[in-house]
Amino acid sequence: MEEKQLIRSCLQGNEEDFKKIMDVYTPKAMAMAMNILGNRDDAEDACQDAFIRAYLNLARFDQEKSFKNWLYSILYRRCLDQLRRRRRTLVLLKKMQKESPAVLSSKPDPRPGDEGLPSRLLHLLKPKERTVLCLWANEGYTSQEIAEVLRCSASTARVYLFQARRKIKKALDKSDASLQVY
Amino acid sequence: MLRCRFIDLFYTILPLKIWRDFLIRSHIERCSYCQAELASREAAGSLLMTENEVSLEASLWPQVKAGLVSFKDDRAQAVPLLAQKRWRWAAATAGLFIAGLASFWLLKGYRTEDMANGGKSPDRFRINYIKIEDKPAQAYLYQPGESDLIIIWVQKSP
Repeated sequence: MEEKQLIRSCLQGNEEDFKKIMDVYTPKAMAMAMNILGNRDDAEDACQDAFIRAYLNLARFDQEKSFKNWLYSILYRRCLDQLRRRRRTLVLLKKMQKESPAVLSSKPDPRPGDEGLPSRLLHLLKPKERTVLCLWANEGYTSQEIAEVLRCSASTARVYLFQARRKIKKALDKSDASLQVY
Repeated sequence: MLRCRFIDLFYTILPLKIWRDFLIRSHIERCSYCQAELASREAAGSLLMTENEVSLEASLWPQVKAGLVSFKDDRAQAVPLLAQKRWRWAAATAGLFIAGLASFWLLKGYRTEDMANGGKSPDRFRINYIKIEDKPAQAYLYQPGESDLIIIWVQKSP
């Protein structure tokens, strides 16, 4: 069945057809979430949440537009929510450690979850830049398409992409140089 | 190359993204030197996780389905609660309205009674004793016409 037909079927209440849509998009969504969050559990949570919201708001989806972009846009927002939640937890942990150091003997990780990023170099990028880079490199998106996902202007997307590419290039050059030294 | 350095400096200085984008479009995207400063799609892609590398141990569908069911249950429970809340608000608003109406009606009756007496009743308003600087003083009351206004004039006794 075609994607549009599946969406129409879901709109009529056939939840099982949404599973077919999910089967197509889950690996892509998981890859994107992993690239942004760097933590498998968080990425799974973000994906689940994104799919639930997508199903519940399917009636609002403009069928003339790309479903993938719409889903990515929801997923991107869920990922940002996960990061915000993580930051709040970190603040709480730090506070707890300050108030009662005996309770928490080990130091909390300054960036919990980020250790799972596919590459250490991605730490240098902000979540927005990671998203843009992922959409550009993995999906071959243009600035206009990236802007649709991020819900910003194409020029803003271009600036994020430029910054991400520049940071990565510098980091790659640096790591190459350090490899040559050793 | 010097121009590229200037562009780079401008890029750092310019605060607005739209101006930065102008520099990107007008120069950086066309200049081979500047392009060499940027990571290629392949280089960037090699750092990222692709869909082929994602190993899904289990489908997300069961959790998503459970999420949808719990959302529907929550919504079903929320509807009667919402109705109850609305009824409570309606009852409280009606009660307040009735109380307001009753107090208005009671006060109106009291005022009518007061007007019937003309507010002139000596039983209602009487000055028994007035002193100025600890000495007895004289008081004069004046009520113009039909009005509720009473003017009190007090002066030292001669």
